[in-house]
Amino acid sequence: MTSPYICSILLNSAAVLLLAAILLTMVRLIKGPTVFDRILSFDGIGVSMIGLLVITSILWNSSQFLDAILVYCIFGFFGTVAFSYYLHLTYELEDSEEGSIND
Amino acid sequence: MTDIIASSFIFAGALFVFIGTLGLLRLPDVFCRGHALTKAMTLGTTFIFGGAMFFFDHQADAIKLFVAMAFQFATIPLSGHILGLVALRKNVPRFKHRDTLDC
Repeated sequence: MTSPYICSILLNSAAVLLLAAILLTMVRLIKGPTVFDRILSFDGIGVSMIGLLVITSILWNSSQFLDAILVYCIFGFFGTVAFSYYLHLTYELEDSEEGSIND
Repeated sequence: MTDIIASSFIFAGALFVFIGTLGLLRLPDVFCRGHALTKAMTLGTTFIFGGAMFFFDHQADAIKLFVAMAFQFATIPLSGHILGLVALRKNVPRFKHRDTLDC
């Protein structure tokens, strides 16, 4: 058992775990009762995608993806903050019709 | 040897992200889901970026990864906190008892 072999096994199984994490988050994204669950799932998918980009840039031995990682971090955070801001501007739940935020 | 330790760090980070996703899928409430996802994902991305720093030869790549790690370490709890505040203002249905659970 040489060292690059063990490295490759560990990195590929980490990529498989992150892919399974994205798939499980997709379930919550489709099923989620409120819109906040969907925003949370969006955040989780972004973080898992960042981990997959890191593992891809290690496995392909290229540093081209690192700038993409930075940009992806910033856009994921700003997306969550923008969703929260525009939900904050909507009506309260008891003032509107029943379950309008539950879509 | 360094490669094996660094890829073990990456595998541990992917495992933490996966466990956070399981919490997102299984827990009954928006606040519980945010609690599970946010903390586990912060720890997981810190592990992933910290392990990935050892794989790049140039110093600029490690600095980029460190900046991304610091940004994620600051912004994932922040976005979870903002989302929890908005969910608290909007009176999201909360978990009371196990028999009245619909998720």
